[in-house]
Amino acid sequence: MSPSFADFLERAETNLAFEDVPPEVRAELDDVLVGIAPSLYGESEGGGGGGNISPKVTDIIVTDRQGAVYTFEAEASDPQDSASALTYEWQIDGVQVGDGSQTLTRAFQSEGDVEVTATATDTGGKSSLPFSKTVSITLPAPAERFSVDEFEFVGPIGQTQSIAYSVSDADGDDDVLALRLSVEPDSDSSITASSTTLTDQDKGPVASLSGDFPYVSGFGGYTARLEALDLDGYDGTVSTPFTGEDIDDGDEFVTLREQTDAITD
Amino acid sequence: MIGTIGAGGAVVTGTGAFTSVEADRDVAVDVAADANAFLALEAVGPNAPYTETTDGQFGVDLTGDNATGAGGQGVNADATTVFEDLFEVRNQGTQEVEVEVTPLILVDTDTSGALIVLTVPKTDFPSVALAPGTAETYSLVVTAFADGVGSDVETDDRVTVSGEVS
Repeated sequence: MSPSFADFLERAETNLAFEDVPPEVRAELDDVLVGIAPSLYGESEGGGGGGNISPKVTDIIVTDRQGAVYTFEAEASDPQDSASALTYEWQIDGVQVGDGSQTLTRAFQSEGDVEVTATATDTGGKSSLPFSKTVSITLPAPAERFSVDEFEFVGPIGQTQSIAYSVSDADGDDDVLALRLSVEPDSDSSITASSTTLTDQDKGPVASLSGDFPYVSGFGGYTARLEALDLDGYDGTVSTPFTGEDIDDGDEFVTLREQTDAITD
Repeated sequence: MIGTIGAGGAVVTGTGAFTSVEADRDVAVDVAADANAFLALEAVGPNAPYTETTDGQFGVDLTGDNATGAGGQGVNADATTVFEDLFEVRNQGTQEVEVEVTPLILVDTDTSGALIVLTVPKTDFPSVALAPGTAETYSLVVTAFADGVGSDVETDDRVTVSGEVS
C-alpha cells in the first residue's frame, strides 16, 4: 500500500492523534501527496486517509509484581482494532520475549534497570513504531524467595529419627536449585556433625524440593539448619545432571530455619 | 510558515568515501549550503528563495525573517501550502547511501489550531537509496488549520538529514 498522510503522522514526535486532524485536512494532504509524486503516493487504499492506519503503543505499565516476577502491559491504540486484538512483540534489553499477547510476565534474576520494548501489529499487518520504557527491577529479600513448607523433627521427643523438610519457590520464578540440611552438635555432644545437599539432578532449577534427613547419630544437643539455594544465589551455569558437587563456596545459600534438639537416649 | 534544513561538516577520509552523515538543521515555521559536501543539500527550482544558507548550512525559512520581495511573510491560516521540489539531497560520495530525513513531520498545536509541516520525499518513503551522483528531491507541505480565526501556532524546529551506507 502506498504511503499516505497517516504514515507521516505515525512518525511524528508529538502526540497529535490521527483523529485530531480534521478529515478534510487529511484528505487534502493525501491529495497533495499524490500531486507531488503520483507513482509513490498515488495508490493509497481508500484515499483521503481512509486506509489501514498503523497502531501506536503509547505506554508500558507494570500491572503486577510477585517477588521477582513482573507483569507488563502495553497500552496501545489503533483506529481499526481494539488494543486486545493487536499482537505484540516484546523485548527485554533487546532480546525478544513473550507470546504475542498484550501482557508480558517475566521473572528476573538480578536487580537493575531494564529496557522493555513493545511493538504492536494490527490485524491488517501494520505495525507500530517500537515503544521503549526503562523499568527499575528490584528483587525480594533472600529469605522471601523461598517458602518452607515443612521442617519437622520426626519421632518421639528426645529420640529424633529423621528430619523432614520441604521448600518451594516463593518469588515466582521456580528456580530452587538445592536444599542443604546441616546438623551441628553442641560442644559436649557425641553427635556427629553432618550435612546433606539435595538437588533435582535431572532438572536443575525446580519449583520445590523435599527431603528426609535419615537419622542423627549419637547423643546430646545439636542444631539443625535448613538452607536453600536458587538461581539468584548461584554463581555459575546450571547443567544437568545438577549435583551437590556443582555447588561451591561462591554460591549463596539462604538460611531458612534453625532449630535445636537433643538426643537423650 | 516554514524553516530550515541543511547539512554541516562531514568527516573526510582520504578516498572521499563516507559511511554515514547525520546533521541537525533548523526548520522554522510561523504558520515558513552544504552544497559541496559529500551529502549535499541544496535548494532547487523556483522555490529556492524560501530557503537560505547561513554559514554554509542550508535551511528553510518561511518566516518574516525571510520575507519575499513582494512582502510575503508566512503561509496562510486554514490552508495547505505546497513548496514542491524545494530542495534536494545529493550523494556526492563514493558509495550508495540510505538517506532519510527525520522526522518527516513537524507538528505544533495550541488551543486555537495546529500547524503541520511535512517533508515529502519524491521517489521513496520514508528513506531513499542514493547511488553516487544521484539525488532525492523533497517538497515541503505546510497545513495550518484553526478552530477560530487566525492562530498563533508556529514552529522553529530542526530535522535530521542522515545518510548511511546501504
